[in-house]
Amino acid sequence: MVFSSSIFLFSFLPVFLTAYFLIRPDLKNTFTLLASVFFFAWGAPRFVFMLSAAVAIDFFIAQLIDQNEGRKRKLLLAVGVAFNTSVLLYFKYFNFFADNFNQLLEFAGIKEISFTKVILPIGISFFVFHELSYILDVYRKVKPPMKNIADYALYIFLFPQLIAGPIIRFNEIADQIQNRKFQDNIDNRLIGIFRFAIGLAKKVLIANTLGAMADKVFQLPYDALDTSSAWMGALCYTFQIYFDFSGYSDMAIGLARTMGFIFPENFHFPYISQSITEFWRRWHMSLSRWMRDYLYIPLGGNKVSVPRMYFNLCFVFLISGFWHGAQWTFILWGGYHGLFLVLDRLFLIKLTHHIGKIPRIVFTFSIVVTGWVFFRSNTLGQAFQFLKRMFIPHTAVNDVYISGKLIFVFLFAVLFSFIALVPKGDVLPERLYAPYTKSWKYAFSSLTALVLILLSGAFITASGFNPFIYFKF
Amino acid sequence: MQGRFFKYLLFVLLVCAFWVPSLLRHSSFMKEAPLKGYFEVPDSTFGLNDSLWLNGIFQDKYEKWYNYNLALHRAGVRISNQINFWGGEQFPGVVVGKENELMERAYIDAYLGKDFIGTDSIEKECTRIRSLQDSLARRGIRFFIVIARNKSRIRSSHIPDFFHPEARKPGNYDYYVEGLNKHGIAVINFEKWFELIQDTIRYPLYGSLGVHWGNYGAWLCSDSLLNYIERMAGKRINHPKLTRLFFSDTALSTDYDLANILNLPLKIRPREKYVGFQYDFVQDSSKFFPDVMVIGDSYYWNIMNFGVPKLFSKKFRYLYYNAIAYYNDGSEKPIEQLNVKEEALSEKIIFFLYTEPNLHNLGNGFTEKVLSALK
Repeated sequence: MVFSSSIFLFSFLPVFLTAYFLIRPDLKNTFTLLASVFFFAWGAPRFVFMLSAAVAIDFFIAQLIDQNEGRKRKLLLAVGVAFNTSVLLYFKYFNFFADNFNQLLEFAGIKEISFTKVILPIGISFFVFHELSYILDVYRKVKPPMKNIADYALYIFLFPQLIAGPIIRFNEIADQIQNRKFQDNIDNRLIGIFRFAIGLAKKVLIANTLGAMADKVFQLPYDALDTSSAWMGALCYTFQIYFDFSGYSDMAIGLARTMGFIFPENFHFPYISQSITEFWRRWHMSLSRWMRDYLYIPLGGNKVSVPRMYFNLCFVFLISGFWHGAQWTFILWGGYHGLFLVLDRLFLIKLTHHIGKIPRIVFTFSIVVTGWVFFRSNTLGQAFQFLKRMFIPHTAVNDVYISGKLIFVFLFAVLFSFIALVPKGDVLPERLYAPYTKSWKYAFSSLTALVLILLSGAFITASGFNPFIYFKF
Repeated sequence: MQGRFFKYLLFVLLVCAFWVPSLLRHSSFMKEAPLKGYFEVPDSTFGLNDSLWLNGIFQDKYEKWYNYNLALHRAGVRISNQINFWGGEQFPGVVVGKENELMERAYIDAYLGKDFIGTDSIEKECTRIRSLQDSLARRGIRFFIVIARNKSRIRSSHIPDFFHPEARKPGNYDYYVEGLNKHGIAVINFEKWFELIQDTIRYPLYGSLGVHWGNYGAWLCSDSLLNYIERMAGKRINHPKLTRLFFSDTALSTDYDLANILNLPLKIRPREKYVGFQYDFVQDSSKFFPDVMVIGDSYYWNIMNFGVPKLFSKKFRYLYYNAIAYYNDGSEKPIEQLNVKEEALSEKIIFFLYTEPNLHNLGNGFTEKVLSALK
C-alpha cells in the first residue's frame, strides 16, 4: 500500500484516523501497531513474517546487550549488527553480487552459475537501518531498550516511516512511543493532515508530472537524444526526485504528527546549497545523520588524519550510494558525492568563496544535477552517454513534447525549490507547520488540505485510465 | 474553549472528507454519468485465500476494483483530464493537434510511415489478394477494396510538430496503392478522392473532434459505394435520398468520438460546424438487393448506421476486423462460429473497407482463410 493510492487515502486512512481519535489513550500504541502490520502485510504479505522475526530477534539481542558489559556486550553488538546487515545484504544485494559474479565468470570464459533471484522486501533499507539504530543506541547507552516488544515493534512497523523513511533513530522516538500525551493534540492533528496534503500534492501533482517527462527522455534511444532534451530530462528528474522524496517525507511526518509523533525534518531546501557539503546538510537529512552517527563517527569521523578523514568520507558515501540501490550507478553516484565532499575540503569551498552566492548555488546545483543522471540511469553506459549528450552539443530528432502544464509545473517546482533565497523564504516551512495562534489559519490550512487531497485524489484515481473509441483487436 | 471546539470541528470535517468517496459508493445519493469509451473493467469476482493473499494477487485485484468503483473515480477522471487538456497535455491514444484538431496516434504513425510492414510483405499480400479476386471471380463473386480516408493524412498540417511530419516516409498506404494497382485489383480510393474534392465543396468532409469521417464525408462515400455496387450488380438497387443538408451545433454520430473518450466535463468547441442531414430511406422491393459481405475496420460503422446494409439482401454481413460478424437484424456472431468458405461463396459482392492504420493487417486474415478454404 502506498500513501498516494485510492485505497490508502479513502479506505485505510479514514478508518485509522477515526479509530485512533476515538480509542482509549492506553490502546493507541497497540492499535497503531496492528494497523501498521496490516499496512505492511498488504503490500508485502510474505515479508511481514520475516520482519516480525527480525523484530523479535533484535529485541532480544538488545535486551542481552543491555544486560551485559565488556567483551560480551561488544560480541552481542557484533551479532546484532551482523544479523541485520546480513538480512540487508541477502535480500537487497544477493542478486547484484550474483549477477556481477556471473559476469566475471563469463569474462573468464567459465559457465555462469544459475540462481534463483531473491525478491526485495519493500522498505528493507529503512527498517534495517531502524533496527541497527536500536541496537546501537542501546549499546551506546543513549537509550535503554524497550521493556515491551510491542513498543519496539511499533518503532519498526510504524507505517508513516516504514516504507520510505524518514530514518528515525531510536533515540529520537523512544520517549514518544512511551508517552506523547502532550503532542497528541488537536493542533498537531490539523497541522499533520495539512502537511500530509502538501506532501501528497508534491508527489502527485508535481513529481509525477515531471517524472513523466524525465522517463520519456531517459527512455529515448541514444541517437534520438539531443542536448536540449537531455538537459530537460535531467532537470525534470532533479525536481521530480526532490518533490517525490520530500513529498513522501512530508506525508510521513504529517501522518506521524496526527498521532502525536514528532519526526525530524528530512529536507530543507537542498537546491539552494552553496556547496556539496551544505547539500548533504539539507538533503535526506535523516540518512546523513544516521550515516554520521553510526558509520562516519565510529570510523573516526574528523578526529583522524586528513587522508583518513577523506577516506572515511568517500567510504561512507559509497555505502550511502549502495544503500540507495543494488546497482553500479548508485555506487558511482555515492562516490561522486564523496569525491566532491573531499574536494570541498581540499579547495572547492575556498575557490568558490569569492564568486558570490548565486554563482555558488548555480555551480553546486550543476554538480547535483549531473549526479542525478547516474542515479536515474539504468546502467553506467547509459549514464555516460546521457552526460555526453548534456555536455557536448548535439541535435537530433525526437518526439519530446513540452506542454503548457509541464512548463507551469516545472516553474512552480523551481519557485518552491529556491524560495528560501528570498527574505523569510527559508522559514516558510516553520511558519506553515508550527501551531497557529489564530483559528482562521487552521480553517485556511484545512481548506487547503481538502482541496489538495481532492485534486491529488482525482489524479490518483484517474491514472491508468486509457479508453479506446471502440473495442480493439 | 470555543477555539478548541472549532479546531475539533475542522478535524472531524477533514476526516469525514476522507470518508466521503467510500461512503458515497454505497449510497444512491450521487450517481455519476458513466465514462465513455471502451476500457477494461476490473474483475469483481476475485476471492480471498492464503495463496492469493501471500502472492499479492488479491491486493492487486482489490485495489484495481476499489479504485474503479470509488465514488469519485469518474469525477476524478473528468477533472484530471480537463486540467490536462487545458494544460496542453497529450493523452494516450488521442493526440491533440494544432487548433485542437483531435487525431488518433495510430493514424499519425501510419501517415508518417512508422508502421510500415515492408515492400516484400505488401507485394506478397497484393499477390494473395489478386488470387482471391480471381478465385472469387471464377465463382461469379465480385471483389474490390475500399481505402477510407485517414484524417491525419488530409489534415497533416495540424499534426503537432513533435511528430516531425516533415520527416514523413512513404508507408503502407503509398505502397499498397501502387501494389494493388499493379496487380490489377479493383480499388476505390476515397483517400485520393477526398484529397481532390475537399477544397471544392461547401460542407466539411470530416470533423475536428472525431477520428472517423464526418457525416457528410461518410454520406458521400456511402453514395459512391452504392453506385459502384449497382454497376457491379448490373441492376438497379435502392439509394437513400438526401433531403436536407445543414450546418449544426450538435455533434452527430461519430463527430465527437475522439473527444468523447477524453471524458471532459466541458465540451470542446469544434473549429467548424457539424454537418447534419436528413434523408429518405426507401426500400423499394422491386429493386435488387445484392448479396454483400464487408470485411473492414470501424469506418464501415458510419455506413452501417445510415441503414445502408438494409439496401442489401438478408445475407449481408459486416465482418468487423474479421473477428465478429454483424447482421442486418442487429445480431452478431464471433467469426469462429462461421464457415468462412460457405459464407464467402454465398455472396455476390465482397469488399474490404480499411483505413490507413489498419493496412498493416489488410483483411485481418480473411484472404488467407478463404484462399486455403477454396483450395
